[in-house]
Amino acid sequence: MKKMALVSASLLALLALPTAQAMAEGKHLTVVHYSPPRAGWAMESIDAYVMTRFGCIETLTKYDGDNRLVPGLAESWSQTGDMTWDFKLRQNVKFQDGAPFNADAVVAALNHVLTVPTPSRSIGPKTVSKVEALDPFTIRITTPKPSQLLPYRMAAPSAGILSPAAYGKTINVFGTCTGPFRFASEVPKQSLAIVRNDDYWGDKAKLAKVDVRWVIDAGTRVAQLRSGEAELVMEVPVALAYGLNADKSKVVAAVPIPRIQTMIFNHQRKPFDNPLVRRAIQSALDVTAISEGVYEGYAEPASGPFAPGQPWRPDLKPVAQDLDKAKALLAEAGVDPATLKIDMPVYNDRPDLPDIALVIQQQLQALGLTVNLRVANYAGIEPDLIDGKFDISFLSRNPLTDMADPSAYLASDYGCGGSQNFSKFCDKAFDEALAVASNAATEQERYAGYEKLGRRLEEEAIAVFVVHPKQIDAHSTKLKNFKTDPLGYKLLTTEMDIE
Amino acid sequence: MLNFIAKRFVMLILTLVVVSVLAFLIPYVGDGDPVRIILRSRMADEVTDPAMIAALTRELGLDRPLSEQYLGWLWRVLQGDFGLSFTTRTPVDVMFLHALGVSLLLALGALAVAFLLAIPLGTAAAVKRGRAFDHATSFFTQALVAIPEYWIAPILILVFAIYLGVLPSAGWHDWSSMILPVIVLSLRPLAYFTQVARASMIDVLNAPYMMAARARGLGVSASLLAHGLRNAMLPIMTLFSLWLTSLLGGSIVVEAIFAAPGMGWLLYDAVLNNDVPLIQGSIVVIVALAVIINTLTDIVYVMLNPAVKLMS
Repeated sequence: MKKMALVSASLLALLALPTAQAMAEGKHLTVVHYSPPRAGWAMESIDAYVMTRFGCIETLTKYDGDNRLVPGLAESWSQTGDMTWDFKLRQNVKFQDGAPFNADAVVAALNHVLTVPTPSRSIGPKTVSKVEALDPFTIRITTPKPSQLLPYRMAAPSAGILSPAAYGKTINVFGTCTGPFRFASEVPKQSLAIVRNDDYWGDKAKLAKVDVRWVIDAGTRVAQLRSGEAELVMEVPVALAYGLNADKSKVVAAVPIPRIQTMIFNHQRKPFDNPLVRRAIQSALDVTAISEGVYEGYAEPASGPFAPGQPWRPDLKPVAQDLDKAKALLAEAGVDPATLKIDMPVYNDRPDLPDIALVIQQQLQALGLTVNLRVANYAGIEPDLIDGKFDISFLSRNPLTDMADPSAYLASDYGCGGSQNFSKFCDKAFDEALAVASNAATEQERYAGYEKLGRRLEEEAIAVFVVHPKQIDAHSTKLKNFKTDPLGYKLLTTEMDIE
Repeated sequence: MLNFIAKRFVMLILTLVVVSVLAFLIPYVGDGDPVRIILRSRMADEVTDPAMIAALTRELGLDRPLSEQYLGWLWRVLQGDFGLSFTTRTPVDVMFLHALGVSLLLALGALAVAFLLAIPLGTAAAVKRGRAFDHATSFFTQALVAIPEYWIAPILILVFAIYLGVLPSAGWHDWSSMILPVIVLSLRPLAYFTQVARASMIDVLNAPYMMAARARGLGVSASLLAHGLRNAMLPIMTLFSLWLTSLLGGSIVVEAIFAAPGMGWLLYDAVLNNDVPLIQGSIVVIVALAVIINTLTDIVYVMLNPAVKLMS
């Protein structure tokens, strides 16, 4: 009976007219996004990104426009011992439900995310061992081993702070944040209603109300912009971006992001353990042609794993295609191209990867290699990657997913035993250099260390770095001050406005 | 009749038992480790260390023997507890009942449109058999069967949402959100219903009782209304129930394009994320509904046409 009532209620709710909502006063923006919250707002999941993107939760530290760490809910922080950091909290903050923002609330919030069964990568028992209140507005965080990166970890969305009332059997994000926007209501996987937090401790937002709609079909997202139903749509496919470019009332915003499409080798299979063979394959590829062909210019040819603009990026040019050099390197390695048959599985969850693989298959055939391309979804490919049943494959990686520092990425993808190190590249010297770099006391030393490691990955062709795709968003010219955040942490800002 | 119903009821129970086993096993048949897939969906495409995988495996009870997991699951399902979604940690039944409501609205809307258009179209084509209208109807219905949903749906969005601006392009906000997906979903049933209505009307028109009715002085329309429609409706009713069960399962293409949160989308998302309880619960409910609807259709069919029972 209860269930019948639920179905009936659903039907009635679906037919209800939302005119009252739509008539809310003030400046109103409609955003169409592709990635709805999918984990019940669990703080350790990617749902935390939704909370930061739309201005709800805030973190102790945060990044400015240049990806530099600046104060967030903490006004200052300092390292007080080898393994301890103290954070001074702002005293003019309060949660949207009226609860006081203080050290007890922060300790409770961080302890929640530390004790969940599946902690996030950025903040978990491996990186934080204790959080305690020293006084009403000071907390101390202890790490299991010395770490210079702790303040960066505190900027990760999973380290966001909610009111104590938010943490029950499930997470309640409605009216429990501190940010400039308050989540008012949601229809799961359909829409999210957001209103301005008029009691915000910082600059008040210009927008009064924001409707977020979750639409997975890219064509439909663009249709919503073209029909005027939405003013901002996220992630526009290249093919549709050109159509929007011709529309004077729309703006296509294409911004380089840290993501890198990478061709990995199985270092445990011959001849891919040989740097000469890997460099031969690297020299046979034309990454500029891939950037212009597959992405129609909406991608940067890569020279190493790090995208343009990152301070640790080695000063290298993309390797130019040179088939004579490639043949010479193969000959030097003693490999006859006619005998080399390459097994190349690729996953299609990111639709550009099979396109890249197809172009590369043709480019390697020009070198005389035979490439067997296998396409399946990631779940189908992953067992082969884990078991080393491949010669060459592809990964789409974001080195800065959890913090604006590439050390976690370098460790997981190229460190011995790294969780994403499907190529099984393992070199103790690489691991030691990474440990030294990530624990260096100054930014300059850290960046110099990462730069050397990035250079080595490129020069020894430990992997072949193909392109950095751009994030393409589009909006109406009525929308002002929209800026794509390459890290994907921010979307709604207090400055955004609509005519 | 009671004997017939009892037999159908026993078959229904046996079918549901088999379905429960298959529904339970299906999520384990595909490639890949379910726990890794779940973690990927929760953490974007970044993964995960072995300790996290082991912790989640324990938490979800996936380290127990499969038979033990099945019996525990079946016992809870019989009590109406389909468990919590692996990804959202919310009750699965709330999720699929909500989605079922959407699919039900779309299915009934589409079938109502198809039915209301198909009966007069098919009847007129049968009455005007071999003439221009009949040929045009035949061409029209064959074209509808051939038109793919992923082609017609964007065209309707282009015309009604972008150029005319009279309907929303996507979403599930109010009754107007239903119109475009209902139109797209109705096209194929409309084609099939029309063809079947035409064929059965031709049979009916040639039946002796119709000739007798005409001989008694009734006009074509009057004799069709008085005697023909009920007999011609039988095959359409069977088709209606088949389409209803099919559409209740949702249409991934239409729901994705129009962002309608029905069963197709829900299941697609659940399969992508290997949300085992959601896949299992949805399959059980969809198949149970299909079996029940088909059983009821069979019973009603026999009630309307006892000759079927005699033949069986």
